[in-house]
Amino acid sequence: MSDPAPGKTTGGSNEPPEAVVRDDQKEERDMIRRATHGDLGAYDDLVKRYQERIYATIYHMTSNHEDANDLAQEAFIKAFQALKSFKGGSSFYTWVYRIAVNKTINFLKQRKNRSQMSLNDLDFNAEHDPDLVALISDKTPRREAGLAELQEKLNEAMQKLSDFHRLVVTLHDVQGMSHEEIAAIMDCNIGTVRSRLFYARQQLQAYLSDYLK
Amino acid sequence: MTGAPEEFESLRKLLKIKQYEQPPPGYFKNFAGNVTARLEDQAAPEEEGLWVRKFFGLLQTNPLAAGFFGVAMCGLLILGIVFSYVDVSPASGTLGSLTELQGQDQSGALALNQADNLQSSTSPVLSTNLPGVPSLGVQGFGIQPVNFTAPAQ
Repeated sequence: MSDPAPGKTTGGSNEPPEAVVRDDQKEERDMIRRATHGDLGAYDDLVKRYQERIYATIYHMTSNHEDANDLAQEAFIKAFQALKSFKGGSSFYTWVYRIAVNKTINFLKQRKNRSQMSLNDLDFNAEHDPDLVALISDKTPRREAGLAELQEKLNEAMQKLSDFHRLVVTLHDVQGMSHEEIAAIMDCNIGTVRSRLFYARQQLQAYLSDYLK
Repeated sequence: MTGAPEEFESLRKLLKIKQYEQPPPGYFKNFAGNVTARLEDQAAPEEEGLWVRKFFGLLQTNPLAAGFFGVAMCGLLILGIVFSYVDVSPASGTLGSLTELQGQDQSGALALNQADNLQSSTSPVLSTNLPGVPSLGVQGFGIQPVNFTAPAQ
């Protein structure tokens, strides 16, 4: 049994009605069919559906906006070129994610020297998040540490993790995916996802101990 | 294996920072457009190159077509060489039209003589003095022959 991921709706009144979901899936299947026949307009709509999540995953993996931009575009281009091979065995969402993740991991393997981080700015709402406010003012021993410093330290710690451990933390703790979804994307079993997640969290906790007490 | 939820509670809060990291404003407005533009760019050279590939494929597989293509290219080359030797200067065109005029008008004999005196297209022609042919120069501008005698040594 997987623990519910943060920020993810797990049921109840927040979920869209079943009929809406079915219409949405039908619409997506239609877009995929049209895109497979070369309709770039339909593919444009598909890209818009998933661009933010795909970009965010790659960005959290690389901690570099420019690399994330290039890789996300290349992932969508590769997905378009491979659309004919998409048989619908998994959801399109999982399929595109798998392409993006594989592309990113190959890129990180080839990137011998860790490149300079190029971090995105924090949304101004971060300053009003009660969890983050508490972390800065109450629980952190270094109270002078601002959000920007915490952001930098967190990204440095993430970059110390192995690619697969960083991926699991990103997908589960940052993007709020379930263990099942992560297992489908990483093409491994749920037990592997759980153990990797546990190890990655332990590592991060050790790296960031100064900021977590 | 996942550990107690409170064990990683502080870490979970800290990781929330990552959710607030946002790319520059308006970034996603252009993202899909950039992807489709790159796809169009990749498709265009393939379409352009298609007929070229077909053509050269035909030349490789069909000796008759290859021979015809070779003869056509040689013909073009010879034509190019021939035309490079033919005088197509504007002066020759002027002479032709003057000859036609002379045939139409008996009184144009003088004009023909004058035209014959034209040495080359580089000679300035300000007035043709031909009846019925407008002057190229300013009206009333007379041409005076210049008598130039070299001083005796």
